[in-house]
Amino acid sequence: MDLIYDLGSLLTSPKTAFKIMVAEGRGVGYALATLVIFSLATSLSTVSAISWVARYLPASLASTIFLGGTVLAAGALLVLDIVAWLLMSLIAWGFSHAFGGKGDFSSTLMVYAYSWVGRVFYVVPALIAALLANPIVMAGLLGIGLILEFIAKLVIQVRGLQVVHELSGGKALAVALLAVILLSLVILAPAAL
Amino acid sequence: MGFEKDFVVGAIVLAIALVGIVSPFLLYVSGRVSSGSGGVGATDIGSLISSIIGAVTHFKYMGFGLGNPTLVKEETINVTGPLKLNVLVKGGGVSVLEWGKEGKVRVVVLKEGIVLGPSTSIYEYRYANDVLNVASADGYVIKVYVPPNYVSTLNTRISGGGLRVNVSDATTLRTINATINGGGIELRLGKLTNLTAVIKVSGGGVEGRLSFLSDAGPSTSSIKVSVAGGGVDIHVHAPIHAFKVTCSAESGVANVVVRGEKRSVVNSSVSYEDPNYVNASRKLSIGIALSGGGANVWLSG
Repeated sequence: MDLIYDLGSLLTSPKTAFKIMVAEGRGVGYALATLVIFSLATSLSTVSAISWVARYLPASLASTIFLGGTVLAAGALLVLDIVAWLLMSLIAWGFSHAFGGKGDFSSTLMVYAYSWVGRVFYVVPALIAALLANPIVMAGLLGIGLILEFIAKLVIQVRGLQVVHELSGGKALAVALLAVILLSLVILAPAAL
Repeated sequence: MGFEKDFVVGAIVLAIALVGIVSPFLLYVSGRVSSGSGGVGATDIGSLISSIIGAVTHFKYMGFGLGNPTLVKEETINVTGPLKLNVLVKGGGVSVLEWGKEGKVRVVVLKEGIVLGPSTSIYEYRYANDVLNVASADGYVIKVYVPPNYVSTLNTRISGGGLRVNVSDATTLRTINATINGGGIELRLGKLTNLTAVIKVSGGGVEGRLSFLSDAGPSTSSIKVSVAGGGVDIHVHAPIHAFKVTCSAESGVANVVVRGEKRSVVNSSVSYEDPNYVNASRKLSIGIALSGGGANVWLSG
């Protein structure tokens, strides 16, 4: 039940939600559950959105490839999401303290894990794309979903950092953006070498 | 109040996530993801792809889009006999349209305003011995205006881009050979008789509206369509014709509608023949072989 309230309040009033969590001394348990749920929802709804491709596979292999791809996609994104969560939390924790933040690492982990609830704005377009089975519409919907998800996650992260680190809105936004940029550089650096 | 609102929003969010998680399995159980399955939407995949490709190719060869097309060349050619038309499209587009001037073919070459992709734009057309060769690559739209009842053969190979053929009086057209490896072809042909058409699609789409003559003498026509990926959507109107239809689908979905009666073919084959087909003086046979993608064929008499 707490998780349901948490998910709702994170979207309706994230700052209040984090204040309650901090006051209750909430650990990262529910937050991690949120990350896992929305990581799986993201990968599996994406698989559904592109499932129309299966029609062009040989009949004997379509089911095997689809089911295998589904499990592989879910596992791969979950691992990537957990790595991204840890790295972003670490970066954000470091920058928060550089900007005078007071929160500990576990509360930063909680903020970032809960921010995965923003993925709901990606899952909805992906599910619509799965129903329409149209490649062009799918690309558009998934693109819109990615943008909305990014914005929603950023808002939740900023509000969370404001609360747990007692930062101003501007500093929290700077921390959240720096975490995104730095993580992007970490991901892109091997490709650039 | 806010407490309840949070609960409702949270429940909706969690429900969406759970639907997202189970969605691939729901699709799998419903049969929508199996190759060649007949689940919701599967039967229309052929026409869907055909429509998409058709829209894209229209976009190109109609000269719409990014920037205005400019006129490159315009020429009217005197032609003597039935015309054999060879069309090669590698990007860009070619339109074969009808005009009213007997013994003359007009060729209009347009250059697209902004060319997407590598700049490999070329075009070519050449007429000799009743044969008109037309080639278009990225960046050019070629419009060929032919007199009605003049083209005898259409050979085309399309690998990107599109071809549109819109001829209301194609009584002299005896042969169509079309190979599509990506890109699209739109056929609007009227007053057909004694036609042999072979259409091979391996990616891309074909959209056709073919109308046969009802008041001519004996006529034996055949249309063979093979699809290995991509989509085909063909409507054939052939009054006073006896029909013979064979359709096989190794993979993908084919829908054949004969005089309003629909037959869906999924990983199987069907055949249909009018009782009087063998002895009929006017007959049309349609053969469809599908090894991926989709095909919708409507036959009306």
